[in-house]
Amino acid sequence: MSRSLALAIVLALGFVAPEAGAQSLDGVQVAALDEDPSGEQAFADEEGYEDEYDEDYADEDYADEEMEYCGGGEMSLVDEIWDEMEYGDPASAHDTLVDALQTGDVDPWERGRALSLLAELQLRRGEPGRAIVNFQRAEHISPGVTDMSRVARATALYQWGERRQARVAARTAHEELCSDQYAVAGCYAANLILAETERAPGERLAAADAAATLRRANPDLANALDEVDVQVAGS
Amino acid sequence: MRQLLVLAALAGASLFAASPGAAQDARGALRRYGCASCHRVPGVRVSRGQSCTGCHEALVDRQRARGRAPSIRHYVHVPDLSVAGARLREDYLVSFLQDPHDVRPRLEETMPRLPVTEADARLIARWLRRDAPTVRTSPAPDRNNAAAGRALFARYGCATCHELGNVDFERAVPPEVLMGLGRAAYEAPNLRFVADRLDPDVALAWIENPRAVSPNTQMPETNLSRTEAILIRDYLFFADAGVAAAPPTPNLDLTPLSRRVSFREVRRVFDSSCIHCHAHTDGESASALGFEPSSLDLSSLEGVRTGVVLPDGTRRSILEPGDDGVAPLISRLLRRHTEAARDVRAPRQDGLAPVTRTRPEAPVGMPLGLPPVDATDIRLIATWIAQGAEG
Repeated sequence: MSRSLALAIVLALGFVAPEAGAQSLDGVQVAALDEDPSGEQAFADEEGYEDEYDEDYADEDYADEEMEYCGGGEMSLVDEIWDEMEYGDPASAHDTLVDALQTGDVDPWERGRALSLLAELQLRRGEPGRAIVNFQRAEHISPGVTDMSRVARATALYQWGERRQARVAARTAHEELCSDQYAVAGCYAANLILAETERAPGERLAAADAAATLRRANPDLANALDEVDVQVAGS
Repeated sequence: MRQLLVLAALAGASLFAASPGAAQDARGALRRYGCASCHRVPGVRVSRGQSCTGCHEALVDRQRARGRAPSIRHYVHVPDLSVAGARLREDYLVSFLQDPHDVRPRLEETMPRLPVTEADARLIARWLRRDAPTVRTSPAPDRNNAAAGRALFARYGCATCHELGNVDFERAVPPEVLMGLGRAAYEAPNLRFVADRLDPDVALAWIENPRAVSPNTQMPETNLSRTEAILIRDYLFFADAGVAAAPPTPNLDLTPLSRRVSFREVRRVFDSSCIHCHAHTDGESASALGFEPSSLDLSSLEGVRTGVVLPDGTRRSILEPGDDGVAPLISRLLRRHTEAARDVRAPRQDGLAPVTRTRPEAPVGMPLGLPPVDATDIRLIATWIAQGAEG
């Protein structure tokens, strides 16, 4: 059974896992931040992880990166790594970013953005705990820097079992993204998480209905929304 | 590079069109103000790959298909002037071109304020209206029909997509439904301007059968009877737009930051929009969108320090305080916040400013037509300037 089908069944049943069974985030947060209270030097990463990237990330057809960076400005190191994540090899992007953070090659003013990007990469690798810590560090250094990653942050919290925080993050993401006519996938993801984490059954059902509405209205985005199903459910 | 070539081409076109012989020609005026860089314009051909909107649409399509929130969401779709101009009143077009206002409340961007003269505005308006559709003569709008028209307006769900000033039709539309409706919902105009924009006959024809007036419109077929259409039109001509909303009051704290700010950090702000027009000029003056020919390169430290250079070599610093004691670079960004109080209003936050025909006060705010630069970014730039504008 595919994960998207499984998630659809979960949504249809309105199943909600008990919050008491959630994994504890507190330990991760405190331990990580205690080592570096300012959050300016450290980032969450560990050696020895498996390389689990899906080759589908590679988009051979996309060959106009210059057009992507509309405006003609020069790309910073973090821009280049973001580009590599989106249109190249996310594993390589991760390694490059970790190296850059370790060697201090990231400009101090871009460190918050770099940590947010690292968190996104870690979420894709199935490492939501580390992703959460890096999102926190990013926000600690540069408030607002994770605004563009609200869904990823909500997804990481949801996967880690922090249902209450995931709900808060997903609501914020929903408010921001669902007013942007082009952010269909982000709005859809926020609704998937709310369909699992809202307190009231009616609200969970409404969020599931909203996600279904987006699917029906955007048949051209079926593949992208399938991908969102997988990302939210976790690998 | 493609964007730079486009801008260079537009700049070249506008310089060519500025010759005295072409000044009275409407198409010359359309070129001079760079209308085709965003709009489809009759008589001025620009391919999709050579226009701002064509490039933006391609990017949005790609990113959207990948499940990403597009990095660009402004100037993706703009009115096709080959049809949009034909249905609007000439006087309205003349005023709008000189003093644009927020027509589509769900879009953050607006028509940019360009230095359009009244003569050029009139030339353009007449050219755009040369193929104005012929519509049936209809009865004059009757105020006595307004109440019945309002009821029909609400019953048929017109308020799903349209705003009418700040009138609350008590119709809560989930954002996902708007997304499902797509462009029709986001580009739906604020109907408080109907009497300014449309002749009664055109308004009625539009309500009865929008595709007969504009074949590619996003407005769905209404299937209204003529009587119903007349009632709704009459409501729109006499509708009370509600109570004006207060303008936004951003916190524009420019107190310098205590930390060091580098040009690379500042340039990131420029990269977000400024650099589209102000980059890589190689010292060559260019004219685009009807503004005075000049060069300003915000992509390099040297360029920013050099400032604006006029064709005769005169240099104007953008960093040294002007008469108001503020660096022109900062004052332009702050002015956009003032303009945005009228130009960028969210749904149901309408200031109810009337349509006017006043040329924008010079210099205009930057970035043109877009939401203002965030106050924290302006503070960042102000800090950098206060620290000596170093690398």
